[in-house]
Amino acid sequence: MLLSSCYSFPVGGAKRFCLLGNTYRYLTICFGVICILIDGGVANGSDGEPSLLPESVKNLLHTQCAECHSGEHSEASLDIVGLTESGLENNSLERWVLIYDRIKAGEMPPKSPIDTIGQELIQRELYPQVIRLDQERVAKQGRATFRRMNRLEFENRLRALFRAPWLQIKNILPEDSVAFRFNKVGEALDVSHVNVARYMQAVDYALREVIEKSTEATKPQVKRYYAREQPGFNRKVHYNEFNRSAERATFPLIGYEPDLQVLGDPKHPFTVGDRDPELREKEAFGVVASSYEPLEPVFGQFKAPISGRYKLRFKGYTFWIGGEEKRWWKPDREKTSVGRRAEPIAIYAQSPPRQLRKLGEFDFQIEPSVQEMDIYLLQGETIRPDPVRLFRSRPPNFRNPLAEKDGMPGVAYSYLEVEGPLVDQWPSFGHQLLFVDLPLEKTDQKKVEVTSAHPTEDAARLLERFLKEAYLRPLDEQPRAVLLNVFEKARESGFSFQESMIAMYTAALCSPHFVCFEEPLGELDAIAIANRLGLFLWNQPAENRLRSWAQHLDVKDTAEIRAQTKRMLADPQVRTFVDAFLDYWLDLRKLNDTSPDEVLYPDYYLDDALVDAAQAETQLYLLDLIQQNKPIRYLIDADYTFVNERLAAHYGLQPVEGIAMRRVSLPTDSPRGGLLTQASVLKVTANGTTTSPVVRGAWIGERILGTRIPPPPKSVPAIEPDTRGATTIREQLKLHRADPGCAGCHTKIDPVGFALESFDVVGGWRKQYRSLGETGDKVEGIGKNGQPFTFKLGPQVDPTGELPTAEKFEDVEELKRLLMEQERGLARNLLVQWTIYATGAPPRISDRSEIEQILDRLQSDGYLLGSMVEELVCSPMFLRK
Amino acid sequence: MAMFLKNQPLSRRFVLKGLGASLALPWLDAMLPAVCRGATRLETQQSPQRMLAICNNLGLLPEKFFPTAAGSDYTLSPYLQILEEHRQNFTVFSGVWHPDVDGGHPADICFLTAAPHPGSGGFRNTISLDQLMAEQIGHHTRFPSLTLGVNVKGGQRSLSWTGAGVLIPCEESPLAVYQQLFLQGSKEEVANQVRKLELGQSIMDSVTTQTKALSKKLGPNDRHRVDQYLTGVRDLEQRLVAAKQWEHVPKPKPRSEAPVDPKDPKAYLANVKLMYDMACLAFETDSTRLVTLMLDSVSAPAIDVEGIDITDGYHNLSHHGKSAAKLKQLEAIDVEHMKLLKQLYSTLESAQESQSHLLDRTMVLYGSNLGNANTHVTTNLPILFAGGGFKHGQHLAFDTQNNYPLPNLFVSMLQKMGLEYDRFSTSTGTMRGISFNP
Repeated sequence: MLLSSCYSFPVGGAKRFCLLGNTYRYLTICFGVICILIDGGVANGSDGEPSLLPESVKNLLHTQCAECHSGEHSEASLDIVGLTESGLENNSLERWVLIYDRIKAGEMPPKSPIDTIGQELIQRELYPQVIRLDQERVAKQGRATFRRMNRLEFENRLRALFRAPWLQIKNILPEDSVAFRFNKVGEALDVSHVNVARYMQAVDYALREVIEKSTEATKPQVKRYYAREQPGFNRKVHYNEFNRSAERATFPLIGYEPDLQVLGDPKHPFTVGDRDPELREKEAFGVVASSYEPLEPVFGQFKAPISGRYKLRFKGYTFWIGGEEKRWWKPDREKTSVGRRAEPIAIYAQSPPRQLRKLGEFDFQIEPSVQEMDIYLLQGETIRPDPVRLFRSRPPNFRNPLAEKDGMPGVAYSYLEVEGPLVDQWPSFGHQLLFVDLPLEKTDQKKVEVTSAHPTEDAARLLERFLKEAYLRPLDEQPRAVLLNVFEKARESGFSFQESMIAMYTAALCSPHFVCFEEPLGELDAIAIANRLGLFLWNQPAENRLRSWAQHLDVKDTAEIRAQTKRMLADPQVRTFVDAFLDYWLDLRKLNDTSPDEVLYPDYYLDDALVDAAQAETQLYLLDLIQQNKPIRYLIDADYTFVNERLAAHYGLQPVEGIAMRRVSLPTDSPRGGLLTQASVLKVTANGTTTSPVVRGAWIGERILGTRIPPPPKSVPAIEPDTRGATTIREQLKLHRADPGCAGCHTKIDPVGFALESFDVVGGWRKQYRSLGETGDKVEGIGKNGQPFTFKLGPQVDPTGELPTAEKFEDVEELKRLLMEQERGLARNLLVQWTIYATGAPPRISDRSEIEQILDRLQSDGYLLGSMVEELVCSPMFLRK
Repeated sequence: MAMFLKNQPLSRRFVLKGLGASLALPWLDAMLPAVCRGATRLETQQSPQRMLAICNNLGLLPEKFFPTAAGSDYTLSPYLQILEEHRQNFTVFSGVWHPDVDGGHPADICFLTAAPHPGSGGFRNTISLDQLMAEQIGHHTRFPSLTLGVNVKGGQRSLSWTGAGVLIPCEESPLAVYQQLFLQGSKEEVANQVRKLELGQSIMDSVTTQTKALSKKLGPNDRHRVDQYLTGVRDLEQRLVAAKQWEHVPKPKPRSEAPVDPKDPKAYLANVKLMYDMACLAFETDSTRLVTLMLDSVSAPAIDVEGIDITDGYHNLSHHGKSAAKLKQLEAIDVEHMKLLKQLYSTLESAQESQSHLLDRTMVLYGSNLGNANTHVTTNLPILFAGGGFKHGQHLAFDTQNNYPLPNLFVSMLQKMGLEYDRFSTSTGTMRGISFNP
């Protein structure tokens, strides 16, 4: 059975926690299966009387397991014989669950698994006892453990609290540890002094960002920054020692014509300026390369005066450049004419030294047009445009891959117009939250600060009001007094009113009352339910809307909870859930961890736009499945997907124009549709140079199909694909799979990977492998980096395979048809993933019947994804701690 | 001495070592370095390990730098001839790179981070080797680390990046480094620092009280998590206490005169020498154990070199296009670099420290982000690794077509520091072919 057990989870690769003894315990059983289990640990102790094990179970386990699992040196340190002596008690619960699961799965003992009669005995005599123990545990401490926010939630919370969506908090905080694949599990969300220091840093930054720094609102301005006036552009017009090639220069243009005066005379001014507004309107700078060292023009004369919202308007168009007489691929800056197609432009905010933040994207057309973006900037950021389709010249002797016999495409910028900062209220919402109506005044050091005539009274009044907004639950008297004490002490040692208030607010926001979530044992109260909903569907603790909803919520009213869930799913903010979930479920956060090899894949190398589109496809697709309430089989296949021009070309679909992502129908013979054949999934499961059916098969099995995949045994080295083109990975694997010891797992792991061999390291379709060897057909072409292709075409891909069910397939499309039939397994897996994500804990053994009941209810409609979310939030797993 | 103080307030950059985000906050910047300082600053380590990492962002002429034969019997290349007396003190690497760190010049900020694709859209740098070390050992010394630079415009580039991916601006004035190492702050400045640290303590006190109150309400499993929070808060508080003590510990006595900063960027090489001296002083006085130095050759003009007339900007010379005249000048600069490096090794070797010398306890990494500045390639990096108690005296030659990951050396360096890391950025293990001295 391909979809065997869905209730076990791998330990994340490199991070094998060493928290043995208190929170985590490892049990390794035969053939190297490692299971990680949450254990009550010290706190849990051995309260409660152990119950004796029925003799029949004891006898069975002794006869079957004692050979390996007895005494100090037991396999996987699992002493079953010892366990049977001490009976069933709370602190051995996890080991009993493991024993039960392995026997039921027919995996133990490995050589001759316990037979049906034995399994029935286990089910009848052991199972109810384990369930009882599990329920006792849950009654005492709940399924989920107290936890802090992860760094994304923290960022979202501060943004919502101060209504300051531009705050960049995530990167100030250390990366969160992962358990059961997600960054939502209390046991893994540790706190050290580094975290506390970073909270202080993050909170202080946020407070100072929202506090007003002048006595009146910064007036929004509309200002144009002409490309001709930007040193970032005009420094690149005239050749110098570092550059004598037009590809790395800017092109002075008047409309589509070359500006010969500027081009020919280094002393000629770059612009007519105000003298001739009509001509100025036509002046532009063009480029034939995308933004990359050494040609990275920026609108550097604009620097955001304060953090906040701005409108950016870019005027530009596309043009065509003729080549030199003999070397037709070298652009001649004097031969420019009207463009032939639209060009995609990505816009980045840049801060020194070259730290970039993508703001958005649009297309420039042949005709001049103005493209507007409504975005948030951080103080000091400047704007860098990048015509992403154009090439990125790398030495030596680069050659533009887009050049044709009669020329090549280019992009021209006229100006950037900035409107802003756009202030919807002054003082800002955040400022008012902190200081209400206290006056802003100039201090003697020419700074502007909030002042108070009655500091002590004001501090108490403002704190009261602030805590109501910031904390989920009302605070007792004593901790409030402690916060005020911070203020008083600061005043006493000579800090100003504003500084003392910041210190007090910092203390309030570094407190676990803000950073962590308190959930009552047993049934959750309304605010805890609202909070869980917020964390699940909007990736942040309950904010205003959810809090006011919770005020009138009867916690028994699941119809209302379901209705609220529907409203939340329909809200655009649900995208934060989809993105954050995909970052961990399908590792999309690692999409750029490896890059396509420059020699084997010069056509993908340095192509940021392709990876961006691949990521967006998966995000839009899952969002669509949830919002449109699609059945589970859509995870595997669909007759539509989301692409832009680059991705459509990558997939070999009907061409579409432009960088915007859109929904397209897929032809029936396309292998695309569904998650398995999306470029993002295929890229994140490859290493940039080679693909492996084992790696892809295991990854897809664990994450999408819900197959339990044991980790590779330590003694066997991983197979390294051969890039010289001599053998295929499949041929190398053949030997391996012939060994019966290896075949057991590999028949489960590899088949899906075999079919996916039809896709290269970024998910491009292939019939032959590429190789770096001496033999094989050459492919003509020039890479994005301007270097000619040197790879060869190697051996043929063999995408055929056979599932463990003995069902055979010829290629990925046949495989998808087979997998689509595994609806319940697919649905169970996704439900389990969502349970972890939404509640911070995997389903326990006593939750399994609940999981199956939910699946029963969803079955008739084919397990609709939106309905699955609703069922989950109405289940006791979600509504109880 | 006091005359320096009058007009030289404490440089904020200095106080911010370790977690140096751009902070405009009066009290937080006083307390943040405390994160890197422990309560155990008086703990004496028998043989403290140090690291000095230097990146010359124009590199060295590969044909003059790399030896041909591999192993311990290799023949010294023309440049390495200059280091002959230290032959047993260093290892030269060839065929190494930071995987996927491409993009030419922008790669210098990744020399100690190995974060891939510094030229690409959406790039964010990650923590540098020195800062990763500082998080663990920074509290043993007054300064968790020093971030230095030569010819870096406005200090706005450096080799040091925090765990939050934030640049730590570099100090470009040798005099400022000297003052930080040796000059006491005025009473007023000390009092001011202490006042800020006490405010930090007061905040931590209040968080502690709140955490305790919360803990009482929770079940045993949850309480365990809250207790961890409490421990985190207390650890930070203890570090603040320790930082406060530092304010009252007198700085060491200098053994040499204060340096005079060369004003002219043409005096690039003189500046490099002074920064080497400052690093040695910092190690000798155990003021810090981690120093990074970016030699921003790209921004250097036509520099002064004794005995030869340099007619062109350093960066321009590096794009020699095989012009004999340019190559000659570039080689003259490279040779000066190697001579300064020899002096650095010698100074460290002559500094005794409890039965050993500083070179033996200082890992000196010298190299570049460019393999060949003429073509901007970021493969086949020139790397010299000296001292630090490793077995040296060899040329570790890797495949020049298919380079070996340099981050593996960083893993070995972390382990030599006594830190339990088994990976750094794109590493695949520890450095093959190099081992610790017994």
